[in-house]
Amino acid sequence: MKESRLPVALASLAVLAALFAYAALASPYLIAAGFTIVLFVTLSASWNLVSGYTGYVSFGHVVFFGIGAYTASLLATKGGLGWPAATLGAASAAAVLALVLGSITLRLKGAYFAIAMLGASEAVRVAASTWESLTGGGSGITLPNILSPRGAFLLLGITALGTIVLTYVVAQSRFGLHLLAIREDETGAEAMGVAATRAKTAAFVLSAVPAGIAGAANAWHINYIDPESTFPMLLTIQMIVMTMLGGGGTVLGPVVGALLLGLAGEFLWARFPFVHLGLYGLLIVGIVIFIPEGLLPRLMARGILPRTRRL
Amino acid sequence: MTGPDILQVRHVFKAFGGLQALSDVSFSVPRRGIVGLIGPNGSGKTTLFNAVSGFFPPDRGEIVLDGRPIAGRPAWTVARRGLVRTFQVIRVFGQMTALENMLVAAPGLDARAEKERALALLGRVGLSRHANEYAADFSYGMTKLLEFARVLMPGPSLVLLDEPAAGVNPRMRETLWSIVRESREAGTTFVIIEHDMNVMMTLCERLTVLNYGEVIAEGAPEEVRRNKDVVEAYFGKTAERAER
Repeated sequence: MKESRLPVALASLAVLAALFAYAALASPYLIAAGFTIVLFVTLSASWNLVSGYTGYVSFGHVVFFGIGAYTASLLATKGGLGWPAATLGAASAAAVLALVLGSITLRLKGAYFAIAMLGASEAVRVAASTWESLTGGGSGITLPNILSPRGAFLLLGITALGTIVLTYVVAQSRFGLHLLAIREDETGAEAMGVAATRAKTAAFVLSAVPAGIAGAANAWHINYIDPESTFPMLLTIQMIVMTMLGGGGTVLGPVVGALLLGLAGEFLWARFPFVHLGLYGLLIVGIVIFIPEGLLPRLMARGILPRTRRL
Repeated sequence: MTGPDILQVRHVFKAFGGLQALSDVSFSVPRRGIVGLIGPNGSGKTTLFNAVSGFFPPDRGEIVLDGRPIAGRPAWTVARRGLVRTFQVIRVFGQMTALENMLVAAPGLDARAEKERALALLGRVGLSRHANEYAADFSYGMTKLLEFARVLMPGPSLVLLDEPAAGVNPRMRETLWSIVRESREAGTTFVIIEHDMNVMMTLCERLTVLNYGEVIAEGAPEEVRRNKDVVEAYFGKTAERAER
């Protein structure tokens, strides 16, 4: 079953080198644009890891981004930690939150899980706005400049790459097959000995970690966080749409979706600021009607791409 | 290991709302046997499978697999202890290849050995050429065969088959039953729900008959066939009178 991993290792090294080169050479505007793209890639790939593979569609994945942002910011301001330790703290907080939330919400099926996650993310957002003594409430937290925009871009770019490699490893593993089996038929999977709840929770925790790091990187990038900008529901919707466009349950689907929509977003945002959201809505409708399974699976079905879990 | 019976079901009750689906059901399955479970539609056969395989706990009663109580245990634990099943309604994984379907059920050997075992089983049910096709593209009969091959993948000690031959072409059906016999020789025990009485009479050493959630007869196929209650349950009183 295991095929050679050499091409994947080489491709990863090439992307890594490209990230370093971009971070060193790009203009500040391109760094900011690049940051948005790697943010979208990380978040979509993170959402895909649980929702794309298990079919449990989370409408509250932004909660891990938000908890990462707040944990990192508080550790840096009140805890006096440097960015590496604070970022690790953000990743851990996201993982712990996923473990707690997942062990409750992953028992629910379909729409109930989606809504429970939406509720959970709103609850955490409200907590962040009302717990003023800790979070500063609605006025947010201003951060010292502890990581340059180039550094934040690189941190998040490496996280994006790491998330994709992680997805690849999962997709090639028995664990990944179990997740897909759960997506296809959870009862059938359990009948074959798959510990579904355990596998779903593991995938949920794995997927929360990159989202938590993304929250931290975003805080380092903009030096300011508040509840509205760290828990926006729009961000969850973007993760879902990008993954759906590229193809959920594939390794590169979220990357393709994030690149296409990220670049289109930059372009549309610059030209048509007012119709931007409307176009977004139309695009969602178009995806659902014309390519519900996503671009990559469509290309695989047409024989243009090989049908393989490697992609 | 522990006694001659691999499975013992003792005084199991299960109700759905007002419907008593299983009522004081007791039966046992001898190790390396082939036991048939028969009865009219709605008599509780599939409910009994669901309770035994951990899909819901019985309201009361004991279920013992290999000397260990399993009543109320979740399905995946029961499966890992060696009891697996197929479903009346197909439960293959559509957006996965036949080979991937098999590997989900793999027993945890090294990757190469598992793949070889999976391909051998797929070959046995005539699906070799389709190993890398998505199960969603299979015909009904092919999915039944895939499900049958998949249930043997983990090397189970006890297999519950719920109408495995329905929709399978006659020639493959013969193959399917001969695989059951071979697997039994290799040490696997089977409990089978099947409506084709000719098959059940020749394949099974023992039959258990359910009607309205109760065991109404049990024994060798010949005895069961002559049992008055069984004839009545299957054909009604008129048929019984006509026979007289």
